[in-house]
Amino acid sequence: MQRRTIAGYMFISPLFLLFAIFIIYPIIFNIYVSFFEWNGIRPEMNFTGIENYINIFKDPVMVKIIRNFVVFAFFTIIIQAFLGISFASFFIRSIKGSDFYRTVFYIPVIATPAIIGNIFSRILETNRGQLNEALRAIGLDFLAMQWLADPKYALGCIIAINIWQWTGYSMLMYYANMLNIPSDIYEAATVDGARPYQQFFRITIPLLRSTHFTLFIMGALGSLKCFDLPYILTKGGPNYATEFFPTYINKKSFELFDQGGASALTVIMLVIAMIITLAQVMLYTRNNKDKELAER
Amino acid sequence: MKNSRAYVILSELVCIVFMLFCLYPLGLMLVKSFSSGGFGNAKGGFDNYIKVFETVDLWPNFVTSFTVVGGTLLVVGVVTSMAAFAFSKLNFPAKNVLYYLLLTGMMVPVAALIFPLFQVVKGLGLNNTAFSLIFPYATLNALFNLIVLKNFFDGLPNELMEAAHIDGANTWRIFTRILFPLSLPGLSIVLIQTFLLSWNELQMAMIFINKPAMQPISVVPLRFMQNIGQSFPLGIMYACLVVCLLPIAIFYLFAQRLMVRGLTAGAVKG
Repeated sequence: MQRRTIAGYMFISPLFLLFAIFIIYPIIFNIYVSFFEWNGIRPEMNFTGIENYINIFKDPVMVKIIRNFVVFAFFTIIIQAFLGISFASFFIRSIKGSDFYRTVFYIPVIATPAIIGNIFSRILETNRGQLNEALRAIGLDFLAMQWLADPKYALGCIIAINIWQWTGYSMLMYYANMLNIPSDIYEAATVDGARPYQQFFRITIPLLRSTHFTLFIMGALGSLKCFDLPYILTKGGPNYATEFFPTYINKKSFELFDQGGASALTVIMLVIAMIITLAQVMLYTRNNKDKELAER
Repeated sequence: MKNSRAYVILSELVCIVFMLFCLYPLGLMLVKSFSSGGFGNAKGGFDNYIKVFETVDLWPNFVTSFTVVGGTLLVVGVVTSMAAFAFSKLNFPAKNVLYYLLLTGMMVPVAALIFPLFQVVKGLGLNNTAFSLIFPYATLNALFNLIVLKNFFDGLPNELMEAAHIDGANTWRIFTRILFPLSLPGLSIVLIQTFLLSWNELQMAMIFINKPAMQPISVVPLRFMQNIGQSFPLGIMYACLVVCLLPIAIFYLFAQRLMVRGLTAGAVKG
């Protein structure tokens, strides 16, 4: 028995070593540095207590970051779930070309973000971009906007591109989990006279609860982590209209050389990530209790 | 169950519209990669692609990408298999606590790691090398995929272990000779996910490697955005993008069949 115990620790030690160096150490580093005024380069650091945190809460950009995070999470999660579940249910009922559509819809998920961002920045460009040229061609000149340069539309564009990119992922998650619903449930429901739409709303949607939930949590965390598209397309601008936690941390660390502030912001981001994860754990255990009750 | 006519027409229509929406940007890239318009003097046609290989030297960038991804796959394969095996088949004190501790790693955004790790990487003189990215990527992907692989090991019968143990095999032999080979279908799914994520990662790669000739393919298109002009016409830029997208597109064509299976494996219990 003793030997097996040691073997257990031996087998997990490589992963733990990586975890300690590449996850735990950076987090402790950020917590420590968040109490100092430091430009990230010079050796001297001034202890300033919680001043970095006070500055963050006084920073008007902070309001925009929180707003962008919430708006982005709300729209991407709702729209992707709606599209994902619609497409998945088309494919589960094997409409013509299902396999082909499924393959195509997933392509944006695997495409390199820097390439996607590059193409979309051309499409949305004000003067020669394809979108505005198309709008002008059909006489809708008044709809030709400065899509990425106008604070009113920039966030909407980033959200739309994100939905373009990730709908395939939601679709595949729903599809994979719909395959797991036993078909005899539907057969029984059909015998009982349930119509297809009733089956969809009363059987499919409720049984996919854990999928809705996983995608919701992943969407919320994904919005918190959102970096690639805003960085490539707008650099967080115009006037912080597309600024997110990671883009602002990046700016503070490597452009403004305010590492104390960047670390404090990182700590706040981690606290939000923990709250989201805690919600996941709580709902997950409640889900399991429901399942236990159902099995009794 | 038979689909009604209205359902078929409506669903096909929605799918076709969304398909066009999905493919438009990529189709645009492909068409424009043969064009001569824009700035400068691109000849158009396949000449754009010849120019890519003559004037834009992307080989070192591909080498970096393949080194990073190859190294990451190797480390993830070894480390995740060992840990998943231990958490599934061995008993030791504090097992569950340690397992959930590792799973919290999944929620940590990359932005929280970059600056401290950049200091480490620079301190070790590893910045501007592929090695700066292999271990951070491997850690993140190993943590992401631990659940998937542990669930897979859970599905393998415990009797295998017991029988081999009675025959006198030690734990390491049981792992390497019996359970690891049986876990390969699960591992292949993990490695596909790892390939996709580490090939496309931007945030860490652009900080750790700032020498243009060394940057991985996930960062290179940013440079194209800034360099566009007389000497770097739009047509050639699009041809560069196509070349950059090609490896992952080919990989996807081969891997996509496995991916539905992979998602079910990971999602059922997660």
